[in-house]
Amino acid sequence: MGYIALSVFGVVAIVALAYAQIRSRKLLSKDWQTLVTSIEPMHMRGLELVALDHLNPEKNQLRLEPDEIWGLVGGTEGLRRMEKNADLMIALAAYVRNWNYDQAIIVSERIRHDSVLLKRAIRRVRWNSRLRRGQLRIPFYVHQAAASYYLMTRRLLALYETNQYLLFPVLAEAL
Amino acid sequence: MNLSLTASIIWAAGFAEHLILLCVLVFRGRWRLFPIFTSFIGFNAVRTILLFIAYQYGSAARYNQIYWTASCLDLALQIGVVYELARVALRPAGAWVKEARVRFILFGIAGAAIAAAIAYIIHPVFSNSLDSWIEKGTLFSAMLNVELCACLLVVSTQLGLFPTSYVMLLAQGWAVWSTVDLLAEAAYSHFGASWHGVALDYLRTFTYLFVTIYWIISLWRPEPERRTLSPDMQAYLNNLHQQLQSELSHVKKVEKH
Repeated sequence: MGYIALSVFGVVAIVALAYAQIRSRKLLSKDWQTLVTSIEPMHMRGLELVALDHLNPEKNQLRLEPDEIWGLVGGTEGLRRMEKNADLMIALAAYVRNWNYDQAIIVSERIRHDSVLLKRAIRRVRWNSRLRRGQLRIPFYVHQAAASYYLMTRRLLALYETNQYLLFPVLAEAL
Repeated sequence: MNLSLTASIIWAAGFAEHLILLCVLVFRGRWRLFPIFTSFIGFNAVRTILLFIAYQYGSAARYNQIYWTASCLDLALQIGVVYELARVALRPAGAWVKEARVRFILFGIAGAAIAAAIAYIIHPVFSNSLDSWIEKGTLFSAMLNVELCACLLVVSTQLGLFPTSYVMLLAQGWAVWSTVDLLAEAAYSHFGASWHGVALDYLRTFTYLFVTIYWIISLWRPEPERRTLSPDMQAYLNNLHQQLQSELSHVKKVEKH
């Protein structure tokens, strides 16, 4: 029994080490163009509507219905894309260290913080959907995810606009 | 007590490597970034000398006393080294990334509790009760080392904190060595010393020697350059920049007239 547990422990640890190594190598080996072309397109107008509804509340705060919010962010596929693009955006922010070290470090941290909130919100949406509980909370989490993703894109674009205006249009197009 | 030729060579090689690595850390200024790791390497160099003297000229009791005292200090320093790697990797802006610190501590404590439970329920093939408990302790420290290293790398990857350069190289070496150490210790505990005990010891020792060489080379070299744009993209940007400068100066000339 003890040795079975030890074997499971060892296998889990080795798989975790291999996963971390492969994932970080994969992202670190990508150059700027590959990172940008890896970004999966989002329906930004819809996402902006949901995000601003959350970040910049107006008189009629209930104008977006849950189904509408879900559709505007692209549903399950939209959440998957946001999650994948989040890591790419952190890597793209880190790239700016080549031109403006201080600003890139600080903005990367802000983007990373948004990414944590985004991933947490997505995780909650998934778990609540799978367990079929807290259905009422799902729109709140989708709002949170959209707002975090929107902030990430704004921060990243502003960083490039300030420090690398030549690459800015390429990035803006991809996002 | 006499040492075999192979054991003497391994002992001498370990001492020489620790000494070289210590010199690299001190003279290349890497100790500023990794003070605990530097202490760990310095401690290992001193330990080798003390154990060698105790083995050659002292009694078995004195040797055991030094060996076990040093082993306890070694475990404390090993945990300190993993914490130091985490401190460097998870603080890219000079302050801990809040989520990273919480996750690292939570995963670390949970993993340590699981490792302690596994070490407790395991029954090594030793007839002596004291040997059995020592083996349990050794297994626990091996599991803890692997688990903390895995926690560090997984947390940093999850949060997009991809550790680069020296900390990455040190963590890679540490991960390889601690994994081999755990595998060798598990086999030793399950099958006993009579089952390729010497081969397992050699496997662990040679892995550590190779990892130390890897660290010496990695820390001697200058830090790898940060990622830059591809040559094509750089050329495109340079051209675009020149074009914009030329158009700007043309507009300025037109404005003057």
